Amino acid sequence: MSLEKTANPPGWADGYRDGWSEGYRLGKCELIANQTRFEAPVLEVKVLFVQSGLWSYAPIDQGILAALQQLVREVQTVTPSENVAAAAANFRPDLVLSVNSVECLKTAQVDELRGMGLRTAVWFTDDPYFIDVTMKIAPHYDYVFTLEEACVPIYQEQGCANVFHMPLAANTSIYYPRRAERGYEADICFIGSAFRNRIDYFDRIAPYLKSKRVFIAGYWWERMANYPQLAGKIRTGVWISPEETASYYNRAKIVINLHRSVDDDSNRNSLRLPAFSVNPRSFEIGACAAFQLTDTRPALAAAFAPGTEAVTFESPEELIEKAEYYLQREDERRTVALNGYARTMMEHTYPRRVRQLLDTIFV
Amino acid sequence: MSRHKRIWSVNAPLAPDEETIGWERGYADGWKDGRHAGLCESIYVMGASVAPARKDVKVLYVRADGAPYASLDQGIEDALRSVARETVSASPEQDVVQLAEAERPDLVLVLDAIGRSFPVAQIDAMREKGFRTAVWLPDDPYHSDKTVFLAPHYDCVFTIESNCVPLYREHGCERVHHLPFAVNPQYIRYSRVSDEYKSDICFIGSAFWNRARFFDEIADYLAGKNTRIIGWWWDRMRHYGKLADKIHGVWLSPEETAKYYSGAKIVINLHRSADDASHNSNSRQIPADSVNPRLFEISSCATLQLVDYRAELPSLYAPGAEIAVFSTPGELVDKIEYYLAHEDERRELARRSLYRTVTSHTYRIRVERLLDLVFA
Repeated sequence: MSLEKTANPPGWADGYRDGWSEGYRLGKCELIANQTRFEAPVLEVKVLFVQSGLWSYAPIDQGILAALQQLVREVQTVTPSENVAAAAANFRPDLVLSVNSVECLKTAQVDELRGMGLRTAVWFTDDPYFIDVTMKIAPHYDYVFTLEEACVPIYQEQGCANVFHMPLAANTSIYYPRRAERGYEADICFIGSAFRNRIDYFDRIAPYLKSKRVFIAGYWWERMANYPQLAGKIRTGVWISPEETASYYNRAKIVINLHRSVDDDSNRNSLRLPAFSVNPRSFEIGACAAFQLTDTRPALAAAFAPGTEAVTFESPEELIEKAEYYLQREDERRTVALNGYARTMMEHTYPRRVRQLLDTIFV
Repeated sequence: MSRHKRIWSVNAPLAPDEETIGWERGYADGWKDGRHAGLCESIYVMGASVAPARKDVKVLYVRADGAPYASLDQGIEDALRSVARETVSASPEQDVVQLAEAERPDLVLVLDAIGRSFPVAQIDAMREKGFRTAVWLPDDPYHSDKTVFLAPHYDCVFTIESNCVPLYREHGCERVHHLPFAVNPQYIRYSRVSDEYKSDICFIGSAFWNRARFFDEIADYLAGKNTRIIGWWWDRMRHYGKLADKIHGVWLSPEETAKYYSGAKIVINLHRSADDASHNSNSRQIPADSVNPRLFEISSCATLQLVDYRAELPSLYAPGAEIAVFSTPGELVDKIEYYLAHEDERRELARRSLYRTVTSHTYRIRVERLLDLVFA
C-alpha cells in the first residue's frame, strides 16, 4: 500500500530504534514507580537524626532524612561536629538515630545522651570492613542496626541487647530511571574504588573488555597490571558524584557489581569476619533500572532473585560469558533490569527501610 | 555503529551533521512511541493478571463464522476456554443437534449472524431434548425485522442493543438481557508497527450512507492531512476523487486492523445509522443507543478515539477523559486539530481508555456475566 510515505531524514531510523527502546524502558519504570508508591501512616514520635556528616555519604544521610520526614511527626537533624547533647536537650526526641562509620558521632556524646535518659540507636553503614572499630562503638547504644548480617552475633557478644540486621537502601531521589545524555553510553560499566580483589578480577577480564565499550571509574585503578590495555576506558583517581553515577548506570547495557573483599589492606577487620549481605551499590543499580551483573554473596537471594532480578557470576570466566550473552539480548537484559527495579522499589528504598527500623524500636 | 565511534573517538566537538540531526529527531519520535508502548504493555499485563471466575459448566459454542464476526468469534471462544470447564465449538453449517447429543453441554450458545442465521429448527430440536440454549445478537437493532423471529426460539436472549430488550420481551422472550460487545486485548492490541501502517487520521470500515455523507462534508479537510481510510464502498462518496489516494477498498482482518490502529494518531469511529433502508431491515425504526465493537477495538489498541455520541457511551467510557466525542463534522475537525497538537494529552487519554477496556470491557468479563445470568 503506497499512501504518501513520508521520507525520514538520514539517521532517523537508528535514532528511532534507540529512542523507542529507552522510552519503552522508562514507560515501564513509570508504572512500576506508581504501583510501588509507599505511603505509611505518620508515627507519632520525634527523632533527632545525627547524620554521618561525611560528604561521600550524602546520599545515605539525605535518603534517611527524607524518609524520616515522611514517616515521623517531627525530625531534627544535626552533624557529629555540632553539640548534639544540647540539641537533644532542647528537642527532647523519642529517639536519637545516628548513622555511623569509623569516625562519626563520638561515643562520649552518645553516653551523654543516654545519661539524659534518651533512647539511642546506631546504623552501621560499612560492616564488616571496620568491625575492629565499630564493635567498640556499638555497646554505647540501646539499639544497633547493621547492614551486615554476619556482624549481628559479634555485637551481641559485645553485650548489645538489641541488634538487628538492617540493610541500607537506594536513595531514589538520586538513583532513578532517567534518560541520560549519550556521553554516558557504555556496554559495560563499573564505578568504584579498585580494591585488591577488584584489581585481580579486572586484570583477568581486561583482554575481553578491550574490545568492548567500557567505562570504569574510581580510585586506584592505575594499580592494574593490564591498565595500559584499558587506559582509554578508565578514569582513575576520580570520584564520580552520585548523580553522575546514576547517569552512567542508566545508560550502560551492563553494570557490574563486584563486592569488596573482607581482607583488603584498607579494612580494619582483623577478625576476618565474613560478609554475607549485599552492598548498597546493588540497590543503587536496581533503582536505576539497570541490568546488574554481580558476584554472589551468601545472602544475595534475600535482596534480589538471582537470574531474574540480577544476574550473577562466580568467576571472571563466567562474568565474560554472561556479559557476552546479555549484550546480545536486549529484551532479556531489559526484563532483568525491570524486575530488579520493581524489587528495589518494593523493598529497597529508604522510606520502606526506615519504617522497618522504626517499627523495630516502637512496636 | 560507525556513528558511535565517531562521537567517542574524536575529541573536538563535531558540528551536528544532517545525520546527527536526523538521529536526534528519530530518537525523540522513538522515545515517545516506546514510552507509550511500555506503559500500555504494563496495562495489558495488569488486565491479564486477574484470574478468571471459573464456572463449572460445559458450553457448546456455535460460531457466527463470517469475516465481519471473526474477532467476536475469536474473543468469545477464547473467553469461554478460560471461564467454562469445557468448551466445544461448532460452525453454523454443522449438525449441531447431533453434536450436542454427543457432547451433552450445559449450554448451547449461538452467536447469530444476520443473513446466515443458525437454523432455529435445530434450536427447537435441542430444547426438545432438554438442552439449555442462548443467543447473542450482534446486529441489533439494524435487523430487528429478522431477529424478532429468531429470539423467541431461545431460552435466553442477549442483545447488544438496550432498546431491543423490551422488543424481545413483547415477542414472548422471558429472559432477555442487554450485553454489549467487548474485545480480546490479547489479539487486538497496540503493537510496534512499521511506517506503512502509520497515519495521523484513520478510519476503517464500510461506507454506509451516513458515513459517506459525513466524510463528504470534511473531504477537503481530510485531503490535506495524513489520512487513511480503509473499507468497502467508499467510491460512493461525492468527493471520492479528493480522497482517492488515501482510500483503500479492502476488508482487513482484525489483526491487520489493530496494526493500523496502533500506527494512527487518531482513529475515527462513526456508527452506522439505524435507518439506512438500503442496508438495514429495521422497519420498526428501533433507535440505536448501543455502541459498535469497533469502540472497544480502538480503545484496546490505546489510540485516541474520536467517536460520534451514542446514549450508551458514557456508561462504557468517560467522554473527555477516556474517549473523545463529536456530534457534527465541524466538531470532529476541531477535535482532530486539538488532539493532533496535544500529543501528551492524546496518549494519556488513549491509555486511560485502554485501562478501562482491560478492566471492564473484555470478552472474558462479558462471558462471565453471560454465564452468571444463564445459570442464575
